[in-house]
Amino acid sequence: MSGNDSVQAQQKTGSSILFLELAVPAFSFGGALLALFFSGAGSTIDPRYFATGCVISSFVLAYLAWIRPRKDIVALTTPIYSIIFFVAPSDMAVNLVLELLYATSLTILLVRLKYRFGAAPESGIAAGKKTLEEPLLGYCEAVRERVPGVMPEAAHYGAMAFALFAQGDYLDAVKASDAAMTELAAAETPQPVLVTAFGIVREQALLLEESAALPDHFTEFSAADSSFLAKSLPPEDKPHDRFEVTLENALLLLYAVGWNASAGDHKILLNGQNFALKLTTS
Amino acid sequence: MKIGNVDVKVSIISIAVFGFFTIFLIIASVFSPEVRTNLIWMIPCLFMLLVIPVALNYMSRSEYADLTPRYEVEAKTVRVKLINESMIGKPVRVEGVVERVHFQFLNRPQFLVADRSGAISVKMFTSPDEDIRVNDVVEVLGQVIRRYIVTGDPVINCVSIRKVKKS
Repeated sequence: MSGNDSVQAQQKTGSSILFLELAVPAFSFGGALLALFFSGAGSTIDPRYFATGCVISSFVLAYLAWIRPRKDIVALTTPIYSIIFFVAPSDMAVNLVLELLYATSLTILLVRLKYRFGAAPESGIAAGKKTLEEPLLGYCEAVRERVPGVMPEAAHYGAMAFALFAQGDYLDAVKASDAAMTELAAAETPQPVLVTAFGIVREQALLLEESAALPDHFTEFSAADSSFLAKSLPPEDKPHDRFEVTLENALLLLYAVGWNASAGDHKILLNGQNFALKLTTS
Repeated sequence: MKIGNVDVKVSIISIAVFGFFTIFLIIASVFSPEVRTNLIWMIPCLFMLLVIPVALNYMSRSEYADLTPRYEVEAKTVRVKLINESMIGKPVRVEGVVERVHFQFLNRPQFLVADRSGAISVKMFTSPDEDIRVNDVVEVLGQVIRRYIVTGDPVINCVSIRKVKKS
């Protein structure tokens, strides 16, 4: 998937989310206004029918809460309340005041959801069209330009090493890194930065498998590799931070290479996107 | 209170409920002869309010005690930042500083444990062996789960939390 496709997909899903956010007050207040209009016109239609707008709005609000990374339990439970108030038979009369109060509450909850629980992920709405998010997408595009001609086999092992490492299957990540380094050693065009990245992942996976502490010496990228890296390295007098950032850079480079040169692994990489984003942004 | 090798802890809520209904029953029995005639089953019921939480705490703590050696063998020491959704179900060991403690009085404590790389919620569904406080340096053994079982960010379902050294 190219960068343009991703941007278009994000714009499309972004407008869908905006539409859904507007639908919450529109349906809930719309139903109440219709009830007001018909009762003013002397109609005898049961106001319960117009409360359908409140019920629909509650489900839309719950959906908007569901697709956010942080879940708002209050917004998620509004469909239950809408059914209790407006659908389930009860002694409580459904009238215009109740509908207006309910619509106001939903609108307040929507505002609270937007400001306290972050933005909805734009890719979350389009099933099967999930795309890479920034800044990960930008980094993958940068790596595409700076590390051209990656062998598909090595890229596949890169994706596998990333995914296995993310799953905590460190020994399998070591095996994938070994296989990749064998492929890269036989390649016509040497790609030393990738060999280093696989070496770092291999070394740190072994350390994690053995629950070992920070070693005195560990594999690092060279100064010449810095243009390929997602994050700048901390100074040498902070070995813990440097050790961690070295691993993050290696994992992100393998992720980007896998994304760019192994289309068959996109699904695996999208599943690990949150982890990659966490490594990129923190 | 120790039952066998298990140190059972009753939550303050259970004790408060027991205390409330004890006082309630005493007052009711003083003023109502009808209540006095039913004390033969009311008093055992009252004690059940204490016995049931004790029994539940004993069962959960003894089960966690059985699980701990297995986790000690299987869990890998990881940095908090490396814990992610793909690790759901994996046993992990985390070392860090306790930044926040919630719900300890309910015997369902939740800790926020941080290391150099980040912070993570640690949920425990029984009382810990030790009294864990903010700024304690701890070792956590547990399984990575989602915060709301099927959704939410990864958190640790804690099997064991113990102090590594006093801060």
